[in-house]
Amino acid sequence: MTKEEFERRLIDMQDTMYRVASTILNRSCDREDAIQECVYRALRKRASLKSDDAMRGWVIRILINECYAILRRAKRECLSDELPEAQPRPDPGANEDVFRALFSLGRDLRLPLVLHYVEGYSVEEIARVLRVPAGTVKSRMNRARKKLKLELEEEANG
Amino acid sequence: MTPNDLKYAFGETPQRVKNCVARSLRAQERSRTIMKKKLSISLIAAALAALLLIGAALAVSQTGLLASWLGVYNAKTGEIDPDGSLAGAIQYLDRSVEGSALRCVVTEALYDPDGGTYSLAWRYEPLFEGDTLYVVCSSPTFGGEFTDTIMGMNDCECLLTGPVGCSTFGHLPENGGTLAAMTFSVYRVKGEIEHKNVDDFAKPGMTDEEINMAFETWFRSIVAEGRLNMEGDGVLTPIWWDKEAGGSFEETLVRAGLLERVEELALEVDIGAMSLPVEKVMAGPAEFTFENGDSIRVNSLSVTPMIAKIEAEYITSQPQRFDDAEHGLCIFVRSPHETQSYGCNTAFDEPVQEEDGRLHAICHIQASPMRDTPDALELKIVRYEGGEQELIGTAVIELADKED
Repeated sequence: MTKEEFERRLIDMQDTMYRVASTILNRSCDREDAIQECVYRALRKRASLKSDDAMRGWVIRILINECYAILRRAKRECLSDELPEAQPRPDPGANEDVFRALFSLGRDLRLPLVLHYVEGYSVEEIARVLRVPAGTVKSRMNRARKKLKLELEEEANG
Repeated sequence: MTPNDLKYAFGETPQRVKNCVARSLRAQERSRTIMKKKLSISLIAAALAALLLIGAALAVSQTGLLASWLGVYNAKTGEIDPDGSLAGAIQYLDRSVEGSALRCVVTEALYDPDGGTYSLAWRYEPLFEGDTLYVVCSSPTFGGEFTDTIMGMNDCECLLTGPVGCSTFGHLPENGGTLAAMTFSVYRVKGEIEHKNVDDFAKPGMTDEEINMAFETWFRSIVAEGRLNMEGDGVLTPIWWDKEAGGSFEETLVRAGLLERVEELALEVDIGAMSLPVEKVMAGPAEFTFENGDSIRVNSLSVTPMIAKIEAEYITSQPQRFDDAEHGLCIFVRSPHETQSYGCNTAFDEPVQEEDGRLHAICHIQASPMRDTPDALELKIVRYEGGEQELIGTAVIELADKED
């Protein structure tokens, strides 16, 4: 893949990167930092990408690592400042009910759900990205679907 | 609702996120280190500590910019010390290049071969009063090798109407080179400059996204009128540009008539004339066992006035993750003086289970800038789980001068 093609594919992935970062991070400035750092690292490490087909999983793995690094830094800050974690807020244009239901799940559950149903990643791809067995991805998605259903039913019942 | 409807949980990707991608592409395009929109919190804390210590503004001065920026203090007393080990090692230089609109002069350098770091300070001096220039600097290369930057000030891009000081603190190259090569692309700003930050658009009750959108709407309107915006620290608010059309961000602004290309300047400076004189290492073996049974064994520790590098083994009988988002360990590096803590990075290797069932992980810690070499360093180990934090213990490691 040429450098120009690689850059074009990164630009094509910016919506996916934003949704994945939003799934993990609550603050918009943190999402921006994670995406900026992810793109920068991907460009610097382009030579280590083993095949073109692996790019989308590879980039999202870098992004998830960046998001977790930001969360860890935030934890360290909280130790001294005791700042409460920012609450996630829906983006303009988002469906608030769906947003609330999704974000009622823990990160471990909502991330595979978003990668599969929103971004179209296969279970095997998600397993590679999250570095967990495919069976774990399936069971997390199963639990997530059940919780999501419950959450939406509760909302519908007021 | 079906799971396929989850896409409606997200709105449109904000322009500011696209700008972040643009920034990274621009940074890579010029093969220089990214100018992060937001310094990491730890680095801000470190820089703030430096500022408080020196009590001086980051104004342009003939000398002393690195001392102001990194901070100089005596680790034994915790007080400002203009003759401390870091300040004493600053090389004052006068290496300059002058074009038709701008003079660039490298004023100071620090060379830290033991710690594998360096720092440089330089100054931009516009030659004509009333000129508004936009200068894009490639990060220093050594024998063609780019290195990682730890922190910087005006080191990538800068919009200026008068003299401005810049500095960078980064890792030395692997090739051992000391000749730093820098290039400066100079543009003249044609459009009027606004000076607003996103915070200027905040009103009570607005969400972050609403504030961002208000800023973006305003920004688009001024660009359409041929104006640019400078955010607080001399950085132009980026305009998303169409890479398909070719050319860099600056060239896009040139084509739009907002910038005029003036010149390209280059200079080289040897930073290796004087090395930082002091390096300390552990005075002896350091192994600590805490009340909960966890232990840390520090295998190596070296400290220069620029950076501390620590490699340790952490051993625990707790079934835990080491640096997950929700669970893990934080190790803070502090000096025995409570006023001093350092921006630090901790990374754990994949843990290994020992025969007795305990988990064993190697961790690598870097703390910087140190500003001096203390007689002891304190490692504070904290476990976090969800929103809860628990202090596991502290380990004080005595330091001694390194013997040649």
